[in-house]
Amino acid sequence: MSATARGSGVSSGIVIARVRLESALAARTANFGTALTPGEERDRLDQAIRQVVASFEAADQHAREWPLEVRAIVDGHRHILEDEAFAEPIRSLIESRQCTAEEALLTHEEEVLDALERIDDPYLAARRDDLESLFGKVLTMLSTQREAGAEEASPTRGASEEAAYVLVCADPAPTDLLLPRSGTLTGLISERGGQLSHTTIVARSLGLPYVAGLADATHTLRSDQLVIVDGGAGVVITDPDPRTLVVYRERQQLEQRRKRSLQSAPALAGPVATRDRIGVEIMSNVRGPGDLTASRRLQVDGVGLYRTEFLYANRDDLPSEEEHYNSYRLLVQGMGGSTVTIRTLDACAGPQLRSLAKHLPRTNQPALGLRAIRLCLQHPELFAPQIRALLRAACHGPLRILLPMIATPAELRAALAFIDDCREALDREGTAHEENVPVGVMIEVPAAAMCARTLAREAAFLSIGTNDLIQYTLAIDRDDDAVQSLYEPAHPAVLRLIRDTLAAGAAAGTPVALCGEMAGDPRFTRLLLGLGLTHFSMSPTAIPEVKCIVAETNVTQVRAQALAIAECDCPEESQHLLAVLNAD
Amino acid sequence: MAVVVRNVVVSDPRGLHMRPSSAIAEAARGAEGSTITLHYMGRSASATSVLSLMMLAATQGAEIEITAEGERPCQPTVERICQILRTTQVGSHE
Repeated sequence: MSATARGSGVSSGIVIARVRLESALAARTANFGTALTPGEERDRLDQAIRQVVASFEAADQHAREWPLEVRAIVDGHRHILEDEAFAEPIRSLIESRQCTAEEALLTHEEEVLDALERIDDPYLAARRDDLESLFGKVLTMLSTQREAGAEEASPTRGASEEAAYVLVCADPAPTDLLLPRSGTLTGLISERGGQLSHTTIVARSLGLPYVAGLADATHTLRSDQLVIVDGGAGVVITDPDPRTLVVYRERQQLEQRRKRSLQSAPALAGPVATRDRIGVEIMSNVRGPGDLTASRRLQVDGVGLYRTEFLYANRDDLPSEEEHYNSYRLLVQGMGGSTVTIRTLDACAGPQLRSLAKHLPRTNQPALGLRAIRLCLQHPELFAPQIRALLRAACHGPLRILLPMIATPAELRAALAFIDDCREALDREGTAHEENVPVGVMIEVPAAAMCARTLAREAAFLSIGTNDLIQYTLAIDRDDDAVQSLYEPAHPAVLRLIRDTLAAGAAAGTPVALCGEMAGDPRFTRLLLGLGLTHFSMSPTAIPEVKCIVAETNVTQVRAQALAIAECDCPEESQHLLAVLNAD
Repeated sequence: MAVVVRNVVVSDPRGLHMRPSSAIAEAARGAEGSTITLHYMGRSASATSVLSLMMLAATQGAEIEITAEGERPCQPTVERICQILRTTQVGSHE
């Protein structure tokens, strides 16, 4: 029976493959067979350790885009494996007990974890987890060796060597994705984790579709069960019926075709213009370091939105100025001279940001509470390290600062004054920094859109964040399933706010970009061009299709229609006219 | 044979966990020709061994004794290790 479950789609892409359940318990209670000679078992152990180390080293090409703390985890794990103190006690056990490498490893693991267990300190749990995860990896490699041996003995099973699989774990570590197993890892499902986890960053950099936060996944999914993973929508379909399978195969092929056509069509890379030769800038939204490769491959005109919340995630302390600085510096250097727009902290109360627990009061309405710029202006000690790091990183290439959730010009002025203070402090200290860093404003609160004329005069650029703008304008919580049908980007109220913001920017000579999901949705490309938008910023996967539509559109011809859609009486009418516009 | 002894208190709230252990081991590997050892609660760990350092199970506030002996002076390495142990900011690893 086909069944659909929803988690959180954290790395996009569609994959159809069989499940491989990986459980720490199952790996430790498997049948390890009979021991070979101690010499042979020692060799097996050494080989397994070498394979794990080699898999970490092979990932170096992706490591450039991982934040420092992720690289530190991988390096730390590697250092432990390369440490003689890791393997030597296991080798002695193999010798003294004449047992398999697996049994020796498990005996030693128990001793090590017991020793840590005896000390009563909550922080020792992290050390336990690191070690347990490493012992588990060596164990996985040992069992892979055994499987490979068994397959050699019975060649009929050799087919599984090439088989693609979806890894299902409770809480995978970033290094779990790097391990070579028989077959090809093509997707990931986990019970825990989310948008900001380290594993998500690594999955994106490897281009692996990933659905996180799927409750009970390791119990409801079975090994070898066929699943469809839609990493963009966060959907997992088990035992799909033939019709569903056809639909998803088609979508998967379309996706792959798009990827290929992009790589082979140089006309689509780089700058694009409409049919009537209006230059349009297409930038990419980057959720974190893992999205960078795609942006570089697409030769985008820069990064229009770089979110910084991941720096604060999965930790108890706040990131230091140096961590901010190194992260931004690597980003700017990685984009090789094209502009990078970095949004300052846009946090609201949520479970993933423990490091901000002291700053973020509990509230029933996080979307309307102390968040983003409001939070930063109230807590200079939170804001200063980020701003100082941004000004310093701007020495390494073109960087712009984007302020989220501005609702009134006074907030912009306060933030600009704060940035000036930081700049003066850096001057006094003699710390290298850039003097002229453009500061822009997110237009995502309706009040900001209505006051856009003032903001456009005082900011270096504006960027319309349609996700929040729609949520606030229509009073729709995007995460509430009960009101999803009312979420309508083509609502005339929303379109008028966009139109007026674009007009305010044009009047002041201030560039206006649009960086919400609407920018990457091909249904709205013509409409937005007609309303006067020339700066788009979207998820890298959406870029090829939108670029094609831009190149085929004659803005002069669609302008009147677009303005008429914004003047409609109701969303039903605007939806209808939009369909007509897109059909032409 | 020169013997250097230092006492230092672990200030990281998470104690001597993987990242500082890994940083210490990396620093210690640079000091060839000398043996640097960390002592805590009757246990000893070679400064070049990440795993042994983690297994010291040193928590925040732990007083660690560092001894170093060898043919070549290794004062800078010992100072670097003290500095790593004294670092409060969990994140500032570089």
